[in-house]
Amino acid sequence: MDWETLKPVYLDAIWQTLFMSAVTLVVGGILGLVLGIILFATRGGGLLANRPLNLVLNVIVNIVRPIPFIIFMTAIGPLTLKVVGTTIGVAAATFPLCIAATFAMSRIVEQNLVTVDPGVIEAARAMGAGPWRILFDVVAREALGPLVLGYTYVLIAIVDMTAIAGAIGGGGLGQFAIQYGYQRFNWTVTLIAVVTIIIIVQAAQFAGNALARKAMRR
Amino acid sequence: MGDPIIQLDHVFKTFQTRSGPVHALDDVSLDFERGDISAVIGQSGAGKSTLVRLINGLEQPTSGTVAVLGTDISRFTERSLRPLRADIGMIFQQFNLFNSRTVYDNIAYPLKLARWSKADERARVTELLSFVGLTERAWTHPDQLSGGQKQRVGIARALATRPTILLADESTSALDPETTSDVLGLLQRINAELGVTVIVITHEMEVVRSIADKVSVLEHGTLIETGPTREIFAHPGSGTTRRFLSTIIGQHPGPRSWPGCAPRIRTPPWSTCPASTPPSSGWPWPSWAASSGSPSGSSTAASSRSAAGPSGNYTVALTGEPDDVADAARRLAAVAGDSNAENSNTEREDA
Repeated sequence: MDWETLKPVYLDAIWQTLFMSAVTLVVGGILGLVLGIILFATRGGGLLANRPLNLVLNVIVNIVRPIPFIIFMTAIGPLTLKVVGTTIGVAAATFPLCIAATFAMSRIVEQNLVTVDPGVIEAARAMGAGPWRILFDVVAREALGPLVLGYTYVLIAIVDMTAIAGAIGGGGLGQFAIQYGYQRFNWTVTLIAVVTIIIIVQAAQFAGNALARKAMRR
Repeated sequence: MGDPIIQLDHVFKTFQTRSGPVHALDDVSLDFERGDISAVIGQSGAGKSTLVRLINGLEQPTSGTVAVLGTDISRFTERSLRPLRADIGMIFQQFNLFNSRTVYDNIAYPLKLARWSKADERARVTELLSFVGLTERAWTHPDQLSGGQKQRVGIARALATRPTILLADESTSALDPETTSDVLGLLQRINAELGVTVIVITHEMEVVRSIADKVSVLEHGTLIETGPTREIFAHPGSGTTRRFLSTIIGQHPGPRSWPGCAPRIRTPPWSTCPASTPPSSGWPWPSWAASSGSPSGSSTAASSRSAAGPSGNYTVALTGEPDDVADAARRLAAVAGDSNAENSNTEREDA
């Protein structure tokens, strides 16, 4: 297969990877932020302390997170079929990606929020701020720098997961590398896919670091 | 007496910890007067931080009542406490500023909570920045400020919504002595110029001495002493209070603060000066007292200048012929009267 034929497939694959990653980052990022904030707030002694809810959420997160993504994606196939209507293609891959990213992000959000100085939270309480205001206005904002680094970390994990999704019919650079490289013993194609992913990851990390530096002013 | 703005009535506060219950406050009844600067002093773990947090409902008493501005808030929910908290400013040992916000936005935050208009907010923040002397630092972030500047931002932020009460929780404990006196001076200005009732929590007697009208001493969750600062300084009723006082004994009034008296009170206070050994120069013992024929005696002295005025103890025990003792007492009283008539207090106890 010559490069002229492969080129549109390759460019399409890049676009699909970027699309899946971006949608997952936004959807999983927002849901993960909310879930992480709830995990943080419902802890014992937290702003919205609620032990039963905290326990249930922790158990759910701990069940979902350790499942390898390739198994998770096939395991929730029936659910994907119900929601998206198919289990093949970019849209079908994005659904499990968003769920996995939500759970991964929630833990990272929780970990970063825990590091916020409790004194600052107390000061906000003393001013008469309500718990939800404190969570978004004060806690999330104070933790913004580490949160941006956390998001960068998750974005890279998402790019990784899109490649895995590609192996089982999800599209993107993963599928490109498997279908046109691995299965046809075309090492050049595999290498091109690898280098492209490396470039995407490097760009993401670079942008994330710059944003975090800005958020932390150092 | 007075006009209590905060009334604690038989307050108990018990924390359940893994190692069993901890009684942070044990039957504390205490009033704070409107317009005063009141201090609560105690060692760490004495319960003073818990006490101050009862006032704005950050903690709730296990039993007993806490009345603030005439309302019993001891069973208030977090939601119903919010309007009250806008009327009570609080500053902290570690300042607790929002590092993600500029100095301006730190001060503006309570106004945003109170839904002030942008124009009012700008005017108020500008006014506060100039009040605490940080106008040029408005757009910097807290991590670029010194400790004293951070605390001034904390004070401006606490005053933003024009509160009636200001709670200062160890507000100078993280500061060096010079910065401490700046911040204490600012608290005094807030009290005098804005009429804000100030409650100061501290473990430093120096803070009490410099600004407090009233002082309450806490030990192991119990209120062991309370009263006007000058009275407590003059007649400490407990060993704990005396120990606190002993931490500031080196700070005798200078000649300017206590004319006529200061040069002579250089004795280590609470030590006695037996009259049989003629005191060396500078001891607070009139020269005639050591001469023959006069009654012999011993004296103790301690002095300090507090916000309530100079105060001190000069205790003399005289033995001798009744006439001589009376004469000596009269002459001593005259000396005390000369040095500071208002604040001297001569008691005679015939033995």
